[in-house]
Amino acid sequence: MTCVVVGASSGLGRALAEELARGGHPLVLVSSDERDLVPMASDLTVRFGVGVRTVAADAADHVALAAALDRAVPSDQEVAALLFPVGAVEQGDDGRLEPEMAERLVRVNLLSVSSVVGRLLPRLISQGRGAIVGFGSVAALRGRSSNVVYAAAKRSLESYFESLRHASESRGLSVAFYVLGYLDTQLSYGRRLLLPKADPRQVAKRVCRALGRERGRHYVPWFWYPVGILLRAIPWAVFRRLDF
Amino acid sequence: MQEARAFTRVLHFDPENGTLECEAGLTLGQLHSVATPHGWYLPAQPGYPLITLGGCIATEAHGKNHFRDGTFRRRILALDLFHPAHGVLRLTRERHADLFELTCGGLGLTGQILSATLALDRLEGSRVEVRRIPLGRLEEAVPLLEEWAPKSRFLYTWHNLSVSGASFGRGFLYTGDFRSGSGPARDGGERFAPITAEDRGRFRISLLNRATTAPFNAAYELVQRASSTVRELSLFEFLFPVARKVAYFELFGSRGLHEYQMLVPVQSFGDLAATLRRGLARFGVPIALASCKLFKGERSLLRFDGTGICLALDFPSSSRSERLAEFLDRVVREAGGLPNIVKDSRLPRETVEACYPEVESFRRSLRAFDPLRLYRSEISERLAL
Repeated sequence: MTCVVVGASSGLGRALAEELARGGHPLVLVSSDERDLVPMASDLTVRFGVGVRTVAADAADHVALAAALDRAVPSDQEVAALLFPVGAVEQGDDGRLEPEMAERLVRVNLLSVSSVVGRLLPRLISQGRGAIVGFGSVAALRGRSSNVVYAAAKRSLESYFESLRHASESRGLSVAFYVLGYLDTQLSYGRRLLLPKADPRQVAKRVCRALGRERGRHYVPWFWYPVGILLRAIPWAVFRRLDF
Repeated sequence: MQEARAFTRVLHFDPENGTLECEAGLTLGQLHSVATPHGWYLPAQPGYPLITLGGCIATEAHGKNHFRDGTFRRRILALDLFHPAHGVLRLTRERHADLFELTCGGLGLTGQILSATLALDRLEGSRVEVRRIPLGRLEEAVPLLEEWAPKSRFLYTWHNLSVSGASFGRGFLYTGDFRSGSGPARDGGERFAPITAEDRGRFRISLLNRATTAPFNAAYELVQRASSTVRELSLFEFLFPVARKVAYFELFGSRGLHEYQMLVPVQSFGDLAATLRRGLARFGVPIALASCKLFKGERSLLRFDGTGICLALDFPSSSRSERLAEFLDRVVREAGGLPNIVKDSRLPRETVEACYPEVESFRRSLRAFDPLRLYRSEISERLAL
């Protein structure tokens, strides 16, 4: 029951890959950095005895990524899950981003996912089962003056997963979208944040436990659900003055 | 500062011959859980499972079986080292042999240790039988350790230094042996709560003071005497006793403990014990723990290695403990011994230079490899390395 992890070598992706390997799933791992993929594959093979294939591809080149992945996923094995802990932020994403950089953000955060799903969805539908898991961000709960394009891409991704669920749930697939709070990864390293950071390993455990059974949108850690409601309830007159 | 804790990947493992290649951030506990199911383990391990391999290499760590298995370096087949001026170098005993020697026990000053290839030992059982033998005073550690060395896998002693007079340092010798017949298996002892700075600083003051330490040690002695002389532990519990002893470190309060570890020649140990018996009392510092191990090895560079008795003393840190540590500096010099550099963040340069004749040779080699001296630390500044 092969699982595909796109964005496998960073914080959450690495934790997910490890958790899936612990559960005995053969893996196809996708990341831009070969130097990370090779040691990761050998580590998971030695520790958990699972087969691991790797695809070194840049998520910004979404067309090539989807084609490479289509070739790498063994055609004789069932695909249990596609997971997309993939994403990128840019410095200076405050509305003044260069067009190339803005495009890159949309490619990595949105198009890489839709392209891979587009290629592999027919296989999942013909299997009649399988899970597709996407990851959003609390940065997109309400638009603000930082991470402008990033938040827009993540909100599009949320809409994309809504559609995907609508299109494929009746065909036996389970589609889940997790809105993630602050994670303890290199993105948040050394930063002082308002709310506690979640350990990616705990998030990975939570996601893998529910894999294939949980559907729809969920907040991880859970306290971001009420935070989201509060944040959206703040009247504009107040929200525009908030600096965070 | 370089943080290596994300680099914990096992790069290669051959379950046939027990060779393991892994990144230097891998902890001893993680290594244990990779190797033991296949019937392998790493001898020469210090007693806490969250110590990284890189740390063991840089400090030339040892275990309770030095007399048999030596220090960490003996297990290392190859090292990958990164230094900005040299790139990534693969060090073995044949290639870059001098740099290999300099890096093992080199206090991290030659560069960033990326990964290591280790030769593991066949596991003779997944459980360890621990036998307790009483000893009447500190000096008895020597004959007992020597007597049990040929017939034991692991050996250490515990001494009560709170008793004065003729039975100063009475205590126990502990021998550990694999229990025959207990096949290789996961031992299930791998769950433990890590020691955090918050735990260690829970109490403002040390609960181990002049009034409480003697009863504390006496109670330990009583509990030991009341329990059976032979106990069986899982290998994990035996190798990593510190994993379950968070409470012990909390007792020292927020100023923490000072550990002084020294390696002295067997023939000076009697005099050393007498000096301690006469001298310790006047500092008014309670010795919470005293323990000996037997060493059989060669002295070289800045490594805590050689032949003799390794004595460790734990006491609460205070202004008085500084004076006790200075006294111990003189004691170890007179005994012709070595103080462990990595145990003591106070150890002065003069003491190290007096005890380690190869300091200058270490300095010269380090400068020849890295004239700009890019890798520095508190230790390298204090010891002018």
